Amino acid sequence: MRFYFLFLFSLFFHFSFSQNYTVDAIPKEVRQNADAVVRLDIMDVVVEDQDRMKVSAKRVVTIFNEKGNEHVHAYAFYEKNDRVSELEAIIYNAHGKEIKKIKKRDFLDQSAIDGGTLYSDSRVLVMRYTPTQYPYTVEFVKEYTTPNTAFAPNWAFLDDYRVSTEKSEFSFTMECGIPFRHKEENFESYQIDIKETENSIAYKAKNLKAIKAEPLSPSFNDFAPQVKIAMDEFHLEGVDGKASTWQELGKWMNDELLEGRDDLDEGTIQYVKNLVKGVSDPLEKTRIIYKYVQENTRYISVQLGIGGWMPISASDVDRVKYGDCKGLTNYTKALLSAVGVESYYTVVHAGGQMKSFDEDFPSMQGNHVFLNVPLEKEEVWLECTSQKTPVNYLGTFTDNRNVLKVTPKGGELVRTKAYLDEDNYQSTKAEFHVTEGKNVKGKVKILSKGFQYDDKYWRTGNTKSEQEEFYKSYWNYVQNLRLDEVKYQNDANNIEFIEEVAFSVENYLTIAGDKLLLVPNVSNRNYGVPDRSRNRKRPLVIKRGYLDEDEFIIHLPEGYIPETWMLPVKEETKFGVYAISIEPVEPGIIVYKRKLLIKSGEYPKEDYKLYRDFRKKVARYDNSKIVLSKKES
Amino acid sequence: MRKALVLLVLLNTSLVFAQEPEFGELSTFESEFKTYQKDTTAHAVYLYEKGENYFEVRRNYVWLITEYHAKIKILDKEGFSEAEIAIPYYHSERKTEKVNDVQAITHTDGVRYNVMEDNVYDVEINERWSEKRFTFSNVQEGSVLEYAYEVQSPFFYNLNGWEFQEHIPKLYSEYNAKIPGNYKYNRTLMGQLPLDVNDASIKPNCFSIPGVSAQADCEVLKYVMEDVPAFKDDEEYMLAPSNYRSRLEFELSEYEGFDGRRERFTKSWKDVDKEFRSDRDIGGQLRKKNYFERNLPLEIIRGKEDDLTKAMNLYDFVKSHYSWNGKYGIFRDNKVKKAFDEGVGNVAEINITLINLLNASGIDTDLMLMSTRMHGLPKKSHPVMSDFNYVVAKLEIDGTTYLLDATEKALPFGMLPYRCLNYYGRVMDLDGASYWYDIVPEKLNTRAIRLQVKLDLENGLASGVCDEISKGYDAYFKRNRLASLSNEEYLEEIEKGNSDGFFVKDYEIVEEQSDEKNLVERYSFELEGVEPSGTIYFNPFLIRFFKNNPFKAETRSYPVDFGYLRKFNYMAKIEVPEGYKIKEIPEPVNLALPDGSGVLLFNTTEMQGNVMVVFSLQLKSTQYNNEGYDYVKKFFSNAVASQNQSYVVLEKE
Repeated sequence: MRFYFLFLFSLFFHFSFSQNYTVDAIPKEVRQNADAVVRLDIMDVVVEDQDRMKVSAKRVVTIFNEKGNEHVHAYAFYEKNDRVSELEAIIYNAHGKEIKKIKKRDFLDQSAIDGGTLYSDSRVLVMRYTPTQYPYTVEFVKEYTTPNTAFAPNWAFLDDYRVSTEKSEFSFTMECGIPFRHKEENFESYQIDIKETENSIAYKAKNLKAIKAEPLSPSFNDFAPQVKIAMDEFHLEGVDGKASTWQELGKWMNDELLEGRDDLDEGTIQYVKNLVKGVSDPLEKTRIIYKYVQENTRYISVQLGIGGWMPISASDVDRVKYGDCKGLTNYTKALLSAVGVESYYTVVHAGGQMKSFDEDFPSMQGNHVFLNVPLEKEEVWLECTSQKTPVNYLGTFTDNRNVLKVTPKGGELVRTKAYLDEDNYQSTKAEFHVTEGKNVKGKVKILSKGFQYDDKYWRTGNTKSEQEEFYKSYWNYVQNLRLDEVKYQNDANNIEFIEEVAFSVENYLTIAGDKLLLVPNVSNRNYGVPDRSRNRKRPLVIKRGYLDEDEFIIHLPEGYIPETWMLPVKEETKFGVYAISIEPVEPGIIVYKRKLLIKSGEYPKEDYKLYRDFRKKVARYDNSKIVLSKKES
Repeated sequence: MRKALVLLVLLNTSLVFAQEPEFGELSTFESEFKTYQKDTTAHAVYLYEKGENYFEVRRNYVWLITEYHAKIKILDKEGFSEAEIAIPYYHSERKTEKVNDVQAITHTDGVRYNVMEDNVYDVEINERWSEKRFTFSNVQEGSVLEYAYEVQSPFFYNLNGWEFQEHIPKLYSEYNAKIPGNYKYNRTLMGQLPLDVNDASIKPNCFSIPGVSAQADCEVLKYVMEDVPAFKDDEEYMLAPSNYRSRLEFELSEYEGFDGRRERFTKSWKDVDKEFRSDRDIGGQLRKKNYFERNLPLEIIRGKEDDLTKAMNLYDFVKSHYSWNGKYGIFRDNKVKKAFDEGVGNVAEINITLINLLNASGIDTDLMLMSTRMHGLPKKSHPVMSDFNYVVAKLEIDGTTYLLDATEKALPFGMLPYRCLNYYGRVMDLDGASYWYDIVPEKLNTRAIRLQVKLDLENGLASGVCDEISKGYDAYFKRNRLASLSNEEYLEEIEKGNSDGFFVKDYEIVEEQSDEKNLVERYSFELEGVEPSGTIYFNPFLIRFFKNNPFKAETRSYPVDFGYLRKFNYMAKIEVPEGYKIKEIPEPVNLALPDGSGVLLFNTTEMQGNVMVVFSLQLKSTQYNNEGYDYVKKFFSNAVASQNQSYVVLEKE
């Protein structure tokens, strides 16, 4: 029956499309601003059983330039139990004439291990083709069967920035009666046909224009049209599951993936009990156990089969003293449990993008696991893969997003802590002496908190040359910097980092005739001006705000006085505040004060230019000079 | 005298390493080792490393055996990455190397933790290479990681030598080899460090194969280096790190069977030349003249133009016919005919096509073997074929020699890509003997900027016209940039490269003054942020060649290499606005590098109410050795300061 269907299917395409892979056939508005045009993108997903999903896909992409090459997507990732039954690519030139056919056996079959992983059994089949001319078109067909239905394919009607779609069709058919859910996102500004039957759903879209990237914009997935699918009963590497709510999904994870993996041998239990002897405060116990984990383990990623989702047992981690995020989190949880502190394995989508789990759409999401310790006063978070992250420090990696807490009672969607603008604080205090008329020598003390702590605390182990490299790039506007003593002080309890840096700079001042020019902002200039954005289309998003406060005491060169004073500046905008002032302290000594507050938020697109103007002003003022002239004696 | 020295060193060594260390045992010295005084920045250090190569008959086959044993001290947490080990092994279509007996122990606080066999993973890297991968368990600061393995290889050319110097320091590194007289390897010591032990002796009758009564003598070699510093190689402007890293290189040159049968691999250039002529991979591909004659329109080859025009036409034809697949592939898998049919090829296929075509059209052209900058300088002492990874065409027309590479579309006739600027190559003359030939890069590489600037104080602007003339490599790089970016992106790149508030308008390429070696760009610009006041401090460098000094490290242990000669010129004419007069102009700068190998000039003058600025930086050498590093660094520091910190002071009249 299906064979018949497929046969018709391919016949249909031969008539209506293969003649039409000429570049001229692309509608003008679809061609605009595109490095690649997806001419046709079809995927039919058929779930034949809880552990049998068949995916047939055909994708035709026309590539216009080198940058478009990454959008061909002629590859097939596969796991041990998947079967790639069909794989073929045909290359056409601009006129739609076939120039090369690439059969399955000519695809490169290689291990899909990424950089940070020691071993994984994932593999990928990749098309090998060097384009000889632009534009060219790739027609790519793939068909595979997988037992893993826990990740039902999602569908994106637009691939990426600068890629348009001429025709996109996606269907999902359930042949074995399992209830499934679907969610359409960002369909509002697009015309997408939806056809729903009792056991299937299908989407069709046509002529979606390419989108240009804009700086400080919402992320692509926040406005590009896409479909999510999830099945209420599913299968994952030998394990069946059933869940339609976050509670149920968490319950399944707990029972099938975590349960029984927290055993520790008696010796270890006694050992950690001894560590917390006499301590009753659960937070203090957590600190001690977390410190023990940080000092004794390290992160190593090995992903084998179900091991991609199930942690290696706590006793295995205890033996080898390494593990991936799942293994180390589960191990810490087991140790905490041994000393009577309850904690929860928590799944998160980690990364600077603040990607949240979708509250309304329970499904397998996330890319990372960490630990939640619910204490009486507050929830404490532990990042078990790091040897340096303090207790309850989320940083930009896991802050401010929905995550899935896995408890024996089931899953619970909770939100992690957000850092307020002022929490992300940096204070720079310094004293500088101008020596020999044009050199500067001084000491800087930088205190960092919030996400500004994130940029620094891991540097405690740096060698002298790494420090040198760092400060020469941090203060890259200061030429000829020579680093003297550097001291770090990491207060992990209060989550504060202090850097004390002594340095000298040759020729910092400029000689202009008998005058000297001095930029009083020696060590915290902010030149970050966002790129110009012509015809801004989307709102301005500042994901995280921050506050910098600076105070520099500057000893002027002997015999010179400021000829021009910088007038105090105060710029107050809806995006933040910038203020500087210079005042004399005593003869020959001035103090430069600066404050920069950037407020997080989402602002209408019209504000982008205003924000850019504000940042331009900051950059300009941070670079402004005062003129010193010889004292008349 | 020399012997005595070796003996002394040996004696000295034997104090620390009293006997051959057993696997799994640490000496007191090793277990008590805490810090490495000679390099306090090191995160980990090899306490001991030993390798050995020998030949052995196993199941009636002769195998090349490599044994390896190392102990690594982890000094701090940043050194934990040393605990991830990858042992590469090689396979061809029919044969494969085998990694045997992997043993690994972590010594932590006197306790030993073993790595289990099922935690050693097998990873396929590509068609030729795989890896055994594992990581040590229970790694702490202060742990000693010890591991050993054996590689059993059917590929005798994989006896490659020994890396004494790596990214972390080594206290002791020893290499041994026992090589039967049947096998001859060329060997070279690379890098600057001396050997502490350099022993060679002959052991008679040490090797035989079953069923043959004859026995071979072995050469027994032992080389040791102690206190080998870490090799750091992340500086800008350098040739391949392999030119400077201390190591021992072996290359199989000859095999003599017990039956007296000889198989020569490489020995002298004479042998290489002979083989080259009959070789199917490269030499053979050079004789496909007929194929190209059949498959090309005759007018391209048999045209009536002069040789130079003809050569240029052929060069353009090959450039446009082929897309380079990014591979070099000079010793394997060359299929020129197939590549030509498909229009896709590696370096060898593309340039061999070019050589064939030139020869077919009657222009005598040879193939030159060479090595890219990243691959290292080929050894001149004897032929080491693996030193080469690239081929180009060499031809002479009217007394001028041209080196051609047809892989890059924007590359002008007679210039080589930057990756090829590696000093010399070997010309494989099919009719005579091969010879070394120097690669002389294009000499005229310039960025010249001419500005006319007006200060529009009313609007807080500086505006004017900019002409930028790029020549040689500078023109070529710009053309590549222009080809890969949209017009808008290119302009944004110019704007971003300058100070904020710099806007480009009316950009054009002046085609009539441009060709492939010259690019003339013209645009008008506006610079915001010029504020009117009683005294104006105006930096006359609206466009800067360098924002920062590219040389940041305090010292450098290998030469600075620019690849080609460079020249930067900047000329600006700034009109003094009405009502203002010039109060100060920057001090002139006139600097030279030792031996006149570089000149920096900066001069500002007043001329008919205008400020004239002339800045010029010229490098007259492509390479500056490490002793000259301080001068080069200072030179660039001055150049950056001149651009960033010069002000013309204008005063209201």
